[in-house]
Amino acid sequence: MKMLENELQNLKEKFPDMPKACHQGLMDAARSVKEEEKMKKFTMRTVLVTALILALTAAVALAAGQLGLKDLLGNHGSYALPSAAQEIMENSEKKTFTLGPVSVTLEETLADGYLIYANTLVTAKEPSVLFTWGCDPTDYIYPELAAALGLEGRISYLDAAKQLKLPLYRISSWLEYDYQYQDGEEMSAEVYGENGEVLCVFMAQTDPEKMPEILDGTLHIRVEQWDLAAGESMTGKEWSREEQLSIPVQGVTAEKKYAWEGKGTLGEFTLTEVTAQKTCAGVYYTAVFKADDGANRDAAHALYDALNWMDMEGNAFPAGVSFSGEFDLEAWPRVTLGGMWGIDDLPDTMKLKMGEYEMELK
Amino acid sequence: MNKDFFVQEIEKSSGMMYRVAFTILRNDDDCRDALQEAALKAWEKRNRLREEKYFATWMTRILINECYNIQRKRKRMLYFADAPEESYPPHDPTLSIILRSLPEKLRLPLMLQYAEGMQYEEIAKILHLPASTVRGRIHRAKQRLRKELEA
Repeated sequence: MKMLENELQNLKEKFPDMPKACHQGLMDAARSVKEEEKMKKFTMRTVLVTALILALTAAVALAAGQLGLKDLLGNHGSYALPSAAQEIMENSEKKTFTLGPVSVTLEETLADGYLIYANTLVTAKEPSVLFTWGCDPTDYIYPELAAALGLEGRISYLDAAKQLKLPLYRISSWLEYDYQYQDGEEMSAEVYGENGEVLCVFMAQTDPEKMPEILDGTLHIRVEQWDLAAGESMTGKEWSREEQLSIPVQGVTAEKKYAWEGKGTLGEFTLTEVTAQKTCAGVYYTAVFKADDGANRDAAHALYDALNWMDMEGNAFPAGVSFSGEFDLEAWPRVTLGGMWGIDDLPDTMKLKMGEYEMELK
Repeated sequence: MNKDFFVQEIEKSSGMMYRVAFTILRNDDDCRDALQEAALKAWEKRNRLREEKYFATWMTRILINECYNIQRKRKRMLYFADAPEESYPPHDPTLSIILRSLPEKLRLPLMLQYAEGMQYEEIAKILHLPASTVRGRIHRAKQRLRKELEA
């Protein structure tokens, strides 16, 4: 015990010195930043992945035929996918192939300029336990999977496979594309069906000004069997496949600039501009404010959290499936906020509310 | 946050950042990429840092995310046989054992506690885990290390 503690107390010194190339690269990057540079979209990855997983978690386990993005989001009022995107995803090219012990179906794809989705459904041919590359086999399994396996309580993928004497497979499914189009994060999530099948959701955020009309990409699928005793993948028990995909990019189909009566006062901020762009997946909006003298940046953060965008009946717009927002204070007192609504069309009129302040925009 | 402060804090944190990146990636080339990308992303997101005194914690979180991005891209693009050589320091057997025998989810919290002197609560904030989970993972890490060192 003492020997280990002694070793660990000096752990910092046991690391190699930071190589010159690493230090130089880091400091060059730090010094290269520009103070006037506009802040890009913020997409804090852990927040996003959590939001994505929460949004997709079904209240009850769904049948394989219901494991599509629209069905899953339908369980929550907070997020929505417009009918145009639903139709595109339903009619997107389906491909099914066998990969070792599993059957894989490319269920749905979507690209609207701002985002890409490529979702695959994986079903084991024999009773098995499946987990995805975003998880560790020692993580607790989802309740839907536990129910599908007839297990109660909290149990890891590894222990579930051991207890049930079933093979354990790790599934990796992702889309490779030209990363010059990437603008934000990539993330993955998984949703289990009532029979233990898993929908692997892949989503990437892209720059609509750079995206082509057809996005060519490669869908990578990999299956690895896990050695339950060793707790790692088994050599020689892996299967992989690459499928070339061409995904039509729907792009921005309409834009609108909004106007309102009065000064546009919202607390310590004055609204100066609201624009919105429509794609098949929803509406992306940008709102610009001017901070009053005496307003501070904390107040701007509070503004972002407190704003409610609603229809004229007072119903809040559901959030869109990009799971991201924009928050730019670089040109203070100018404040730029942005986000996405999961609605079918640009609103002709809408309400913006913050506390006691309310405005109509058209 | 202005640029001078940012550069100064990056310099102050550079050693710690390298050790964190090395703990995850175990490869200097990937470390260099992760560090550069993390610095650029941190600047983009600088207005999300509420208090400048928490810069190191906040920066560590961004760096860890970047390391995971690189890990995922590396796993995607390379077959196992082509994986970059991991550059363990040959002169320190204990660190080699830590880097080789512990899975990343155990070695990272261990490293943050013992190499960087962080408390459970700070590690929990960085890793977005409950403090009790952090405590448990460090305990398991030490149990496994003890077995390796006794072997």
